[in-house]
Amino acid sequence: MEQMNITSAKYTQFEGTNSSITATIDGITMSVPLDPANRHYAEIMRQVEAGELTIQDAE
Amino acid sequence: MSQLNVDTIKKADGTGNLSVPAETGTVVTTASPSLGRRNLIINGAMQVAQRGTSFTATGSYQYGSLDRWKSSSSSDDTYAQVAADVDGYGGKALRITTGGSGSTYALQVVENPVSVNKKTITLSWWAKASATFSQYVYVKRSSGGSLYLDTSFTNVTTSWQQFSVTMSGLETTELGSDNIEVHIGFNATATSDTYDLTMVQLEAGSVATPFEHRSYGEELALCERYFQTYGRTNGSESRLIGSKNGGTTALTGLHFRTVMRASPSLNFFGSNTDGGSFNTYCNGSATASTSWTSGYTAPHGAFMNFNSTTGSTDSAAWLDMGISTNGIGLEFDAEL
Repeated sequence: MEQMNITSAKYTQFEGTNSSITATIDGITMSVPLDPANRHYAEIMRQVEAGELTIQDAE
Repeated sequence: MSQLNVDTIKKADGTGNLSVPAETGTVVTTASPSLGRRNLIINGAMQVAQRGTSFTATGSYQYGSLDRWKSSSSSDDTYAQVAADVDGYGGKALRITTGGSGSTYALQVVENPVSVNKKTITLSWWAKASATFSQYVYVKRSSGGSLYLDTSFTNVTTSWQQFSVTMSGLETTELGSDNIEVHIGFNATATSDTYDLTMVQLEAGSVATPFEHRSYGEELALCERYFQTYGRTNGSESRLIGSKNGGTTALTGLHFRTVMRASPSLNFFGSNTDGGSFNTYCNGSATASTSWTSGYTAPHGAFMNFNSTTGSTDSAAWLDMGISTNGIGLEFDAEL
């Protein structure tokens, strides 16, 4: 199984709605869409459900 | 015009089975029914390397050099594109150079290949190594079912050689939404062992047909369904045109060259290196910036908001990509 080292995750909003997650994955900061077919999003949610990661609210 | 009417064509010794089906009149061999576009592997000839031609894996199952090919679970192995003269084809190969002993391989996830549902499939590849090693070959469904596993497959030697395996595991079970994972590699015995892999083909049928060569442009377009990069390297200049919103944000976006598999993740980097700075231009002056404020993607395109403090009024804004100074690059990742 693919393992990603996710060290931070925070929602970003567009017009008041969560639209993506800014995450640092394997040392690279990226914008991750809220798409279950996206492998980064799928792994973020897997780690959240496993209690290994918390997504911070948008500012 | 003369016409030859036959039902079957056989070799002189009576073997062979080239047939002409009555219902279609199309000549096929029963051993390899998939003629035409048949290779399910993308970048099997190791031509496309949008991320760069070499990388050293730092973790498990990473994309880093040749498109569509992941590293195995071994850290510290290097995956690089090298020249290869295989079977008269002067092309490219993927070279794995080990950071230690043990099984190491390249992995490709083939996206839901419905064309081989309920069919026998054959995997073929060409390989050579720095010495004689047993090979590691594993083909599985993404839901977990193994189609083929041999952790001590036929030895690879120092000369190019073609190998193949045929699998019947899909014949009786619906593929459904599964992808198929293909793992090919070797069992290294020491640091700096090398394994070269190219001309990988996965196809319907019970025999390995000659490798289906595709042009670089065709292969690049296929790869871009999963990964695209813009302005990554010096000399790949282009410009994103946008506007200032009157505050501290410059807005811009782009349409992808190829519609992607899913909404992609976005990574940007400045000055052609991760974490560098770049300039956002507004009102004729430049603002050095090191971050975007947000990015939104869909399979067909993306828009991005960049920090830009220069100017306080609405105005045009732009960012230059792919130049050596203050340029930025963008990566979009929808890999499996």
